[in-house]
This record gives sequence, structure tokens and C-alpha cells, in this order.
Amino acid sequence: MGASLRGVVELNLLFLLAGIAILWGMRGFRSLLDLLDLLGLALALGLGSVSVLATLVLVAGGGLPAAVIVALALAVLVAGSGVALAARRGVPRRLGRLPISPGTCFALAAALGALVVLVGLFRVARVAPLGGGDSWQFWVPKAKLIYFTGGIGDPLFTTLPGPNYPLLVPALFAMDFRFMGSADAAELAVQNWFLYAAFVLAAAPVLRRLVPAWLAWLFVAATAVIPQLDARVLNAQADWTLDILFALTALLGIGWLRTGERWQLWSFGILLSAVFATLREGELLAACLCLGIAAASRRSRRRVWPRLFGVGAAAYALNVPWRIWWTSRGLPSDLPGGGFHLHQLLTHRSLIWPSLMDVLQPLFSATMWLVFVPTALVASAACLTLAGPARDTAVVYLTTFVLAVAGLTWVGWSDPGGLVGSLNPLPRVVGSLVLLSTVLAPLLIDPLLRRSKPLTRSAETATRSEPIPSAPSI
Amino acid sequence: MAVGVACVAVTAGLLVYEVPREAHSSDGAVRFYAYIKGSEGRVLTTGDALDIPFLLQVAALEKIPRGSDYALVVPATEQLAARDGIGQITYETVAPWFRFLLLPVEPTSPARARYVICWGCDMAAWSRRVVWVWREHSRMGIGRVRG
Repeated sequence: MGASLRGVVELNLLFLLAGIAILWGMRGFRSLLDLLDLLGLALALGLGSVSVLATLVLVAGGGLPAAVIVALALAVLVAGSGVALAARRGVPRRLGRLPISPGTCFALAAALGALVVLVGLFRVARVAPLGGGDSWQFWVPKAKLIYFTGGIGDPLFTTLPGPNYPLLVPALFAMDFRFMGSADAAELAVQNWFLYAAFVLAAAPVLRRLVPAWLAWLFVAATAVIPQLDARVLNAQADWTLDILFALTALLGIGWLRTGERWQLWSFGILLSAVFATLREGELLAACLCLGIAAASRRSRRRVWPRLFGVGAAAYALNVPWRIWWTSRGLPSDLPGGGFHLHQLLTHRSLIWPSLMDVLQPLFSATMWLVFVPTALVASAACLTLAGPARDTAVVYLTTFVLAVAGLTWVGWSDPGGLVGSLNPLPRVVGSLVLLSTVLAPLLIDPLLRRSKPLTRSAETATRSEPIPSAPSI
Repeated sequence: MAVGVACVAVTAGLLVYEVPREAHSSDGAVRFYAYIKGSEGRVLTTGDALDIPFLLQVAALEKIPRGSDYALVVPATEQLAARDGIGQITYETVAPWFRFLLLPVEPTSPARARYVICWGCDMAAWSRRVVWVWREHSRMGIGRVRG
């Protein structure tokens, strides 16, 4: 194993340990198999939490030497373990039982499909050239500057394109460089591979708590064959990082809404802060998601909304220091073009339609994304006629989807110069909505297969008064 | 129920069709990139794909020491660059590419630079100011500023 690959593996092991401690503190583990089941989520949570903390170190004027990275991971590990010990959560000693069900063979087949694609992607990640224009235009140069100059204070940092873009991806890459022992940009593809592997291994167990394993794995494996994922997931850019973190965040948010398990709410908060810290569009998508969950939970708003918006505000608060940093240096606004200036927007209102088409056409392009968006839309429309959690999930999905499409249309509309060729971010940003559609599809399809009770007046009244259940203790 | 079954059937069908295709595509990519040697080669190949000469990139990495700085000297306009066989995309990307490639060596103005990367520039005019530490031909070279 080369030094660069070993460095990436070691860093991700560190993330994994931090994430295991987070999950141990938040929910505990029933058995060793339960722990094994949640390793993907642990990696995503560890990566998200340590990387967000790393951005705070950078904003505070610090650098990311190995000691700081280890200290950040240790801080998360100690915090998680401390909560676990305080809550008297034991260390898992039992092996546990494999969840065998009638659809297990089908689930295994789908998981095998995902594994085949993951192995293939890993092989490509080891040999492919550095991909993506933005990677060498600014994401990797920013990481190199952090690695070589010890922070974000170098004047070149603010003269690179996207000087106000959030710091999570450069911080993550800089940590990779530190563990590699060199700025080996090509090997960053392996870091992105780890993130996608974490997504696959995290989404499946979260979904499996709500739908049969075969249905969960069918759609999680389906994410692996999305053509645009195949083409770009290994690029050292922030697009797929955002897509993956956003889809997992949405899944955990809905998981919390449906089960009331507090660990899912905290996990939702951790990944939401990472979404905010990844790309400017993350702020838009995070707001749409929170509004979607709020819309679906209006019946139990007294219980849900304070927690939802409290966690959302806390997640955003972690990103306020970065906003203060770049605004205090007089960098240009992170709003696209005309931003919120109504007069300026109205002067080029002819762009509304083209920018809406710029969002919708790639969203429904089968050659780019296959057919998961139409599938989820059809299933969610059918779920609106049902009662209970199926309808709630459909409301979350549709509200998030419609608001995000409107928001992305505004991005294109307000930036007349932005809708040109490769500069146009819209065909890339819709990836978050495609991945959202793919991972939520099982939750929307399962009630249709079960022939859930149709929505009636009495059913609606019954679900309206149904409170969110309290978190089951483990 | 029919909607649910249809959604599952479509997705299962896609998976059955796409997984072997993805596996085949990965094999093809691994075979295709087999000619690239090492991590540095993988990075330089991206520059090569932008039509930035491979040898110029290698020389810039080898000849410009860390802790130094450089100026990239290319034709003043796209039209002039075209005469040297530098295409529009290459002309637009060459400066950010070298900035990425050479970090921590940072770009600066020609007046202050300690090294000059010349591509399509008049090397003879620069010869009084620099010692050419590498040259491919009369319009491509890397020079160290005298003094």
C-alpha cells in the first residue's frame, strides 16, 4: 500500500472511530452485528463532525497539522464516549443475530450489485487522472494552501475562484494531504470513494429500520448505477460530497420524524451542519429540507418544530464564524447575481423560464440520472392519498423538492452570466435532488406495496392527533 | 399497489442491466488508464488533456524550487496564442492549471518573479533577464531570473 493510500485509510479510520463514539453516545449498540451494521453511518458522522470542527479551527486562524486533526477526532471520541458512559450504555459483547427475512436473498443480491460497483469505482479511483475543472481551479488549491501554509491566511486563498465558498471540502482534502504526507491530489479520489461507500453502508441500515431490507438495498444499490455518479463521484469537487451528505441528512430527518428516535435527530443535526459547510447551495437545500419536515409535521408541531428548528439553528450556528470571516474581509456576496434585489431580478425576468428549464431538464434526464426522480414523484403522489407516515414522507419529499427547484431556479434567474456552458452550476446541483429521490423512494413505495389504508376523514383526524413517539431506549 | 410494483420492477430492471455495464465500464477505465504511471503522472495527464504540454509541466515541477515564485508568460491575446497552437480552452486554463500544479510555489508578476515559464513567448527578448534552465524550443522554456 502506497503512503498516500495508507494516509487516506488512516484518516478515515480516525473518522470511523469518532463516528462510532458518536453513535455509542447517542444510541448505544445492541450487539456487535448492530455496530457492524452502522459502520457506514459512523464514518459519515465522524467525517462530518471532525471536518466541521476543522473548518472552525481554520477560521480561528489555526492550521491542520496531524496533532490538531487527531485532537479534533479525540475530542469527538471523548465527547461521545463520555455521553455513553454517563448514560450507562454498555460495550456490545453479544454477537447478535443476522436479520433474516423472506426478502433476504433479494437484499443480498442488490447489496452484491452495490459491492461490485464499489469495487470497480475503487479500482478506477486508484488509476484515474484528477477529474473536474473546479477541482484544480480552486478546491484542491485551497486544500494545498491550507496544507502548505498552515491555514487560510495566505493572500492567494482569497483570490482563488469562490473565495467565500464554505470550507469543509478544502479542510477535508487538507487533512488527507497531512495524513498522506504529501499533496497527492490524484489520490483524493479515494477519499471521495470512502464517502460514497459510507453513504451506501449508512443509507441501507437507516432505511431498513423503516422498510424491508430488500426494498432498502434495491434503491441504495441503484444509486451506484446513476451515470452521473459514475462520471463524477471521484472528482475532487464538492458536488457529490454535498449530494451524499444532503441525502443522508434527509433520510435521518425523516427517520426521526417517523420513529421519534433522538439519535436520528442528533445525527440529522451533525450532518446538516456538514451540508451547510460544504457548498453555498447546501444552505438552500438544508432550508428546503427543514421546511419540508416542518410541513409534514404540522400536526405535531408543538413537539417537532422546536427540536427541528433548534437543531437546524445549532447546525447553522457552527457555520456563522466562516460567514463572519469572509464578510469581514470584504469578499463578494455569496448570493448569486441579483440576489434578493427585486428590481434587479425583475429587469431580467425573461430568465425565469430558461433557468427553470435548466433545473428541470437535467433532473428528468434519463441519460444523466436514470429515472429515479420520476419514480419518486409518482410514488409520492400516490402516497398523498394514503394516511399516516406514508403521507408525511411524501409531504417532506414533495415540499423539499418543489422548494429546491424554485430555489435553484432563483439561482439561475438572478445570475444572468451564470447560465453559460460549463459555468452553469444547475445541472450539477440537481444531483442532490436525484440522490434524495433515490433514497426516499423505498419509504414512498413500501406503503404502496403494503396497500396502506387510504386517507379518509377519520384517518386524517387520527393521524393529526398522533404524537411523535418518544425515543426507545436501547 | 400497481404503482409500487411498477416502481420496483423498473428499478430492479435497471439494476440488473446497469450493474454489469458499470462493472464493464470500470474494467475499461482501469485498462485505459494503465499507461499512466504514478500519482504525479495522473495529475499531469489532466494537464495534458487540457493541451498543456506534458514536458513543460514536468520541467516546471522539476526546475522551480519550493519557496520560490514564478510568472507565466504566454501570448497577450487568444488570437496570438492560436498562432502558437494554443487553443481557446487551453489559453483560459493554463494559468489556473500551473497555479494548482506548482503550489506551494505561487504565481506573481513578471517584474517580481524569480522564475519564468515561457510558452509562446519571445524567449530571445527574455534572454537578457533570465538564464534558461530548460527549453523545448525557441518559444517554450523555463528561465531563472538573473541576480
